[in-house]
Formats: sequence, C-alpha cells, structure tokens
Amino acid sequence: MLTVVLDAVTTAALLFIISSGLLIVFGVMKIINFAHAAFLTVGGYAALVGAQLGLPWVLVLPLAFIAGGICGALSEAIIVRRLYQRPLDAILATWGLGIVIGQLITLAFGREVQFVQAPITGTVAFAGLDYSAYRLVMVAAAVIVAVVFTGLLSGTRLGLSTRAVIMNEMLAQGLGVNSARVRLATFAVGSGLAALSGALITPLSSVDPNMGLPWLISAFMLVMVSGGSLLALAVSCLVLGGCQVIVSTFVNPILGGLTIAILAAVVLRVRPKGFARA
Amino acid sequence: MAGGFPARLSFVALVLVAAGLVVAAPSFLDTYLVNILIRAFFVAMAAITVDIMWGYCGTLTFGQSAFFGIGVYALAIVFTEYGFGTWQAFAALGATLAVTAVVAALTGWLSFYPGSTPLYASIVSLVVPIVLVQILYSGGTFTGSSSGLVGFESFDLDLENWFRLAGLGLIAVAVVALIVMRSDTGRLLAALRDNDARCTYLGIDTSRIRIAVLTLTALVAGLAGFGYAAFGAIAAPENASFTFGTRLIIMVALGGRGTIVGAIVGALSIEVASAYLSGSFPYVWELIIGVALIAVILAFPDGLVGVFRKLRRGLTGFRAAEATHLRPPPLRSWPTRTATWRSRFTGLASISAA
Repeated sequence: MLTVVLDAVTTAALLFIISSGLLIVFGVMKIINFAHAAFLTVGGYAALVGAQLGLPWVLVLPLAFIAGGICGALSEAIIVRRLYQRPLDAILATWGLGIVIGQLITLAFGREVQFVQAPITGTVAFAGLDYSAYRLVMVAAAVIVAVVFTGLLSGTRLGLSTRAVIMNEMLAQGLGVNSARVRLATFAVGSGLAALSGALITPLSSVDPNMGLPWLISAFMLVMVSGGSLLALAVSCLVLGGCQVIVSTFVNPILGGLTIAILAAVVLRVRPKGFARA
Repeated sequence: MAGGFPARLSFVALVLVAAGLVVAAPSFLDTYLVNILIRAFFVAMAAITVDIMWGYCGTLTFGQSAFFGIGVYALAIVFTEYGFGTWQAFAALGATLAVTAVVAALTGWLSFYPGSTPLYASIVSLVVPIVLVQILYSGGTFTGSSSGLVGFESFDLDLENWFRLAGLGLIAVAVVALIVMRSDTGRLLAALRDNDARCTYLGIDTSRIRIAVLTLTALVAGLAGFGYAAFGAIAAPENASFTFGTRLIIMVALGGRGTIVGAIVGALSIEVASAYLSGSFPYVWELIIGVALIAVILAFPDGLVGVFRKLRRGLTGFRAAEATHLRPPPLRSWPTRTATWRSRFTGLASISAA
C-alpha cells in the first residue's frame, strides 16, 4: 500500500517537473508548445553527452537547462514570435519544430536506445520498506523547481513583468513592460525546464530520439487541466498522477497510460477551468 | 454553383479528364508506383475529410486517423475471425459505418458544446486516436496488438482494377466534397469557422452542425480505411495512430487547407515522395517534412495550391479590385442660415442651439 502511495507521489513529482515548463509557456503566451517533447529529448541527450564526458551530475543538470534554454530562445525568435495571433497554427509549427529537432538528434546520435547511469543508485529504507532512492530525489527536485519558480515570479523584476503580461498583456505594454523580452525569456526558461526534466528522467528509463513523446500528451493534458497556475498544476499532477498509478497497479498498465488523458478531457468538459480557482 | 454555366462546364470537363486519366494510367505506370498510388488514393480520401474539418470548419483535428483505423480494423477483424465471403464483407462494412458513427458522435458530444473552444476540440481529437491505439494494443490476438493483423483473405481484384476503383472513388469523394463546399452548406461551415459567436447569435446551432459534420466525415474516413485494408490486407496500429493523424494534417497544410484539391495534392505528393525517399534517406525526409511544415505555417499558409493560385494570378495580370475612390463632394458654400434647433425629452432639453 505504501509502495503505491510512494509511486503516486514520485510519479506526480515527475509529471510536475515535466509539465511546469509547458505551463509557464502556456500561461504567458497562451500557446501550446508541441516542441516540448523535443526539448525534453535535447535535455536527455545533453545528460548523455555530459555523462560521456564524465561531468559530475551537479554540472550536467545546468548544462541540460542551458542547452534547452538556447534551443528555446532560438525557436521563439525564429518561429514562435510570428504566431502569437494564431494559436492553432502555433501548435502545428511547434510540432514541425519538434520533428526537425528529433530528426537532427537522430542524425547526430543515431536511433538506438542509450542509457545514462543514475547518480544515486540503490534503495533507501523509508518507513519500513526499501524504495528507489532516485525516485525519492524526484520529489525533492520537484519541490525545488516549484520553490525556485514561485520565487522568481514573485521576487524578481522579470517575474513581476511576467505576471503583468500574464494578467493583461496590452495593459502591461502600455505601462512600459517589454512584453517581447518577457516572452523570449519565458519561452527560453520553459524550454530549459523541459530539458532539465529530460535530464532528470534519463536515469529512470533510457535515452532515445522519441523519449519525449509519451510525456508530451500527459503534460499537455495536465497543463490544460491546471488552467495556468503552478499550484493547480501541482494539485492536478497529484490527483491525475495518483489515478494513473492506481489504475496501472490494480487494473491494467495500458489503461493506466490512458487515465490522465481521459480524466483530463472529462474534467475539462465538466469544468472548463479545470482545477484552477474560479 | 457559383460562376454560371461556363464554370460548371469546365468543372465537369476537369472531372471527366481526371477520370479518364485514372482509367488509362495503370497501363503506363510501373507496378510499384501503381501500388503506392492506390494506397495514396485512400489516404487522400481521409485527407479530404481532414480538410473539411479543419480548412472549412476550423477545427484542428488530429482524430480523423482514428476513424480511418476503425475502418481498417473492422475489415481486418471480421475477415480474420470469420474468413472472407459476401456476408463477411457486408458485416465489415456495416461495422465500419456503425462504429465510426458512434465514436464520432461521442467525440463530437465531448468536443462541441456551447462554450467549448477550438483548442479543447483539438485536445479531444488528440486523445481519441491515442485511446484507440491503446485499446488495439491491449486486444491480444483479437486485434493483433502491436503487430497488427496480416494474412487475412481479402477482395480478389487485380492491381489495375484496384487502381481504377480507388482513383474513381477518390474523384467521387472529391466531387461531392467540392459541390457541397461550394454550396450554401460550405458557406455555413465557413461562417462557423470565421465567427462562431455570430452564428450562434443568428440562431444557428453550431454544436449540432459540427457534430453532424464530424460524423459524416468520420464515415468517409472509415470507408477510406476499409478500402485501404481491403487492398493492402494488412492492419497495423499505426493506421489509427496520432502520428498518422498529424501526417494527414501536414498533407492538408502543405497542399493547401480550405481547398479540397489541396488535400489531394498534399496527400498524393507526400505519400509518393515518402515511399520513394524514406527508403534511401529516412531521417532527412522527415526533416524535410518538418521544415516544410514550419515554412508553410509561417510563410505560405495557403500551401501549394495557394502558391499556384498566386502565380496564376500574377501571370494573367489579374489584380485584386482596388478600393473605389469616392469623388469628393463638390464644395458648396456653407449654409448661411440656421434655424433654432431644440430637442426635448419631457423635462430634459438634450440639444438646444440657436
């Protein structure tokens, strides 16, 4: 029983880290970045490169973040910037971008599945049972991500400008906030977060050019259900991630993979704001 | 149809020429290309349905591949379980129509309701093929799981006649679609796409119309899948997948959305090019598609057909009508007399000027 609870919490933490980048982009720019899966893969391969170069994990994570951030900044400047008025077209263009990045990675690294050694291996005795230490570290990582970003949003000037743009972009522009710079920074940070999450999940499974795709749909649905707030995202990750774990464990792992998507679609139908406060 | 008799005549002539080409072509083309084109024709039918949903109705739908897949698997499952025969063929056909209609109606009920957004409809259309593929994976030997179903006996038609059947079927679907889209129904759908709120204001039940369009296009996509499996005698989960759904969208986007012809052009080009290039340069071909998609969205929203139309206009010197300049009114002398002007509403004087 406790294993299921721990599985649920760690899965929720993992989903939170992966979705937070998508949420930040959606909250500020109101577009869905379908290239998120590709940025996740970039982070995974950055971790692979870092591990092959023998870098300590403490350096690999920032490396992944920066790699994702650079890709994101370039994408925003070249592609996404022109599509703010056309959100459905932005979905398609970012999907195209995802294909391009995926193929570039395949051309550079090959199609085969590769593995990255986890920095923390083994189990930890937690409340009477042995649980994977790395998965527990995920929870800590998710909390750190949440704290850092809430801090950035409420404590820095860029965060203040971002909140202004989220609330009412035209008004913010009228007050002198450079919304173009805010959008660029947001997209870069969101992509960096995606890459960071990719680097974090590689020790749990493996690295291949399509590793991001299964996570994309779940992250996408979670972001839609959370409606824009980080707290609501945490809640939806816990609730929906928990449901996924319960269904996977007690019913059928294949149906478990579907739970997030189906539950999220139903929740949105019933309450279009999702889990966000009214 | 707009344009009068000459336009109608040229349309009929074009259709007859196309039909003639389809009937004659198998004799000239080599077998491999004929094979590819037959599959491409069925995929193009599905692409036309995507164009109707997206280009004309304004719903970005990733889910038409699910209906295609239902047609594919209905045929495959019936022929695998019960063998091949007349009643089996009709049963498969009936199953295709019934299941696609039910799934489409359900999807439509979920996606289109007063207050739904196009983004939500796209999300639901995304989820449907994913759910379907997972159901296929968990079906065991009944659905063939991840390997799909092969080796079932199917219709015995030689390659050339399959080509003619598929080609004429595609032309039939395209003609019906074009006639409907150029009629008042097409206008209604365009109105739905461009200003949903105003349509509701005018008393049109937009949700019900969208659900009806989704169901009808789903039936056509299901039949296209039925034909595809009937020819290929293979059913694979990829035929119902989200990836195939996005591939259909890419075809419509590259060919030109909102024009049925664009969907056909896009589908045929990508299917044929994929078949020839993905063997030799698989990764580069996908890369080219990704880049082409981005380029189309950013620079050529009207796709190949749009570019072609612009070129044709440029060549024949057709120019968009310029705004008519109104002649300024002749300057007359200013009025020299004013009368007292007063306007009262019970006790209030609103305007008074002398």
